[in-house]
Amino acid sequence: MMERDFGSALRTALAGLPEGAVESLEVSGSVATLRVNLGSLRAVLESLKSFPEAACDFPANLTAYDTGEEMFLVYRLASIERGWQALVLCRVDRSEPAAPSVTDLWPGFNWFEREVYDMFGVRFEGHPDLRRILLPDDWEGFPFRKDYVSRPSGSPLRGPQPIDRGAQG
Amino acid sequence: MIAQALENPWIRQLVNAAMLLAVINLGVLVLIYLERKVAGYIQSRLGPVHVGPRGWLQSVADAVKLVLKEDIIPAPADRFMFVLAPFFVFVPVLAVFLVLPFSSGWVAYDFSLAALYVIAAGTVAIMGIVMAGWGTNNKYSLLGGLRSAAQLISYEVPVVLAILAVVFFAQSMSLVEIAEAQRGFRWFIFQPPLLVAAFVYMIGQLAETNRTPFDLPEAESELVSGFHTEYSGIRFAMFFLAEFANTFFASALAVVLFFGGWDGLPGLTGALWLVLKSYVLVFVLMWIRWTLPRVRVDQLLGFAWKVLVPIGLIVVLWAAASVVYARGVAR
Amino acid sequence: MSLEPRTDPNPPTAEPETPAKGPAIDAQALHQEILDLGTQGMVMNMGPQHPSTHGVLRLILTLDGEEVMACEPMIGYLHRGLEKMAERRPYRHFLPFTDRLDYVCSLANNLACAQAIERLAGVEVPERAQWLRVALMELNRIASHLLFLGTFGTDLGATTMLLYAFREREEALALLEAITGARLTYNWIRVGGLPDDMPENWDKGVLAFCDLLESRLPEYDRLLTDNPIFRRRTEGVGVVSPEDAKAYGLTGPTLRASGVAYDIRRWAPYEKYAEIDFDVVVLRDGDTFARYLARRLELEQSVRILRQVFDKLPEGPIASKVGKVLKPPPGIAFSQVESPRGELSFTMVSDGSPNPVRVHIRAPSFANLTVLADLVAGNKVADVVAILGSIDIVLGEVDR
Repeated sequence: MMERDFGSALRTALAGLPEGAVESLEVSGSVATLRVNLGSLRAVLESLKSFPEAACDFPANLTAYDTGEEMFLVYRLASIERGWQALVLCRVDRSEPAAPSVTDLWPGFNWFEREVYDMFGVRFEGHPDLRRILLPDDWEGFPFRKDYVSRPSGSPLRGPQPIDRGAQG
Repeated sequence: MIAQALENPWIRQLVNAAMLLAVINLGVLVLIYLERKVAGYIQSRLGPVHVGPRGWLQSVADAVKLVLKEDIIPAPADRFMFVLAPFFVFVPVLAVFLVLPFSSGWVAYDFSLAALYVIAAGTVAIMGIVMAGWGTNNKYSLLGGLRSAAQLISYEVPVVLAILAVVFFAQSMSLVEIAEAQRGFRWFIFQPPLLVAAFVYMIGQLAETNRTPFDLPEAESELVSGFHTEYSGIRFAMFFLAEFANTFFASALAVVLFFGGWDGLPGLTGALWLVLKSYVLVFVLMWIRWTLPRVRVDQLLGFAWKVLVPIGLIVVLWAAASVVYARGVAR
Repeated sequence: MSLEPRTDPNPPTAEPETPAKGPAIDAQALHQEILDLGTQGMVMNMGPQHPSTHGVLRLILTLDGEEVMACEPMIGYLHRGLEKMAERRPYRHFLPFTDRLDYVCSLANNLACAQAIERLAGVEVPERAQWLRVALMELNRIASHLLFLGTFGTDLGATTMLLYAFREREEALALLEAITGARLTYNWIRVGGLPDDMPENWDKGVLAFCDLLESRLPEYDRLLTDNPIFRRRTEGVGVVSPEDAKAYGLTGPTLRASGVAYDIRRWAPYEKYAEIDFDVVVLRDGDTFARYLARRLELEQSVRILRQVFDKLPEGPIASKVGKVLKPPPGIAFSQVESPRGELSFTMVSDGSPNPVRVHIRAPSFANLTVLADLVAGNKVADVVAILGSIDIVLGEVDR
């Protein structure tokens, strides 16, 4: 029952989008898995949020994964009222990964996008403050990519620095 | 030869001062032990137990430790202020003990303006705290010092008003005469206006001695240690001792003002009664410290100015009216 | 790192619109403005070593006297690259690592990881194991909330609360040690069930603990909940509206204190939660006091759950057989668990090999921390500590 309702709700929400925006849509239980292409990513996410039929307004998760050949962004949006969630997968270009930012829709994704940038190098266009979050600011490389070479010994961290007497606190 | 030396008034005063110092510091050591034991029992644990029988020598061990510690002055600190600050905090506390009467005749200096002197001398300590906060050249300490200054200045006023009410009843500012006026269990605490004054006084002194719920200047969880963060060794010991000596003095003063001073049942000397009653009050202060959370600085100042000061003013008027009425009735 | 604001590598191209009333203050710009002025605004560092930041968290506060004008949290001090480490190991070998995420509630991490692997590989968990997993989770939840009560009291100055809470927490830890052998990092959940059954009379011990905890709760209330000073410090401080709470992705008691009834145990029941009768604690006010009270009331609900578990615990195997080498079919799966801090979720991607392609850990503290910057602006320094304490983060899972 939930599957059918959710499936039809999603199809209604995504009806207005251009052909080929959503590459596939599967519903299993209360989780729908959508594969979308990069160009329509933002439109799909906005529709999922704003259409009252879908009402997926809770930013549950944002991450990415790299298989070595392809890199995907994974968004998970939940609808607390309806009790279902949508998993949105989107392939990004591995050599120059970029995607539209959704921090204006969900401020909660601000740090998640920074983390994906930090680890995969995905540039989120429109992000107010895209810089590294977990690694030091001057780290070189994006560790979670499969082509990342971790240094055999030592790290790109700077060594001990002279104490700056001017900056106290 | 010693008797001859004691003929010299200067030497005699020096010996008196040394004895007073010794008594105060001993008292403080006992107080520190008491604080840790009371804290332990309230928190369902034992407190110090290892050093000496039942942990009695713990304070001594702490004092020795502090004396042996390295004296660190942070490089960016203002040396003059940093070094001077502990003295400005410690000396006023000793100075006010001069006029505290332990019994009739047992007072270092029977000053006719003792009540006023106590307030005035106590205020000097505020300067010391601000100096410590500023001289450390550290934002946390500065915040602690400024918070402390605001707090201490604000809470002086209710304390002064409470003492004023007592002075009305006793018709004298001399602490000896105030205590004498309560002889025979006619303690001032039994007078309605002074009962309220006692509450105002105790709350004010909680703030003056930087104890929770008013321990913002040393709020450990926020500012590490506030104005005395960077002090170590003997300098820190001076702040520490000053705080405890102040606590004892505040309680002893409360006993003299409200609870009859050395008045008590025959059998024990007056001085012992004073000390006993002081320690009961100190226990109450400790009890409060380990139960209540901390107020925020704006709530603290709001409470002082919007609640305590008006109540203090009412108490003063009430006390004055009671005295005049009593006189009128007597006539 | 110095306190000077870095030059933004990716300056904003357009003014971001925030229909859900997102960031009210742009911390970077405000920092720059204040430093340009040079007159007002003292920039102060809180952390990474600080008694109240609950771990290695650095907060760069811009103060105007006692008032906080801007706050920028900086994390990453505890980043160990756990997610990358998972890619080099077989699936099950990652389970001991998960203890170190939210180290206050290790079993929740274990469970989330095991559940993700189970969903990916299609492994069933026997009934008895499911019920015992519930018991372990709730016992861990009680231990975590007790730690919260203690540290929150200490943050506000009531140090005695710490000792009372830890006195009860000792009992809970002793029970967990009796079954798992460890006091903090349990590593007691396996793919397909549990490593071993509970010891003799463990259930009686747990029920006795439940009675003990219930008898102590009025003491906690007298000390904190009903204390006027505590109320004045926490009521009305750091209010989060339900819309903001959802927009920021808050979960757990932090979200439920703002009026949103989202508890994974009810919303997407796992293990045996669907067969257990308990209330989801939801409060309306959304202030620090509500966040504290939510956790305090959840203690009672956890006790309720624990009592039901042992009534309904069936006999049976404690784990299902899983082969030596676990090679789940290619795909992507995620698990959702209600940890004491919120929605903890593991997302795993498999390509058919023994090692995962990707393990992502959606930590509740990471998401909950984003709201701090906007909450503290306009409040006093003392409130920063109170608000941070009420969000209840564990840096282990923020940084991973």
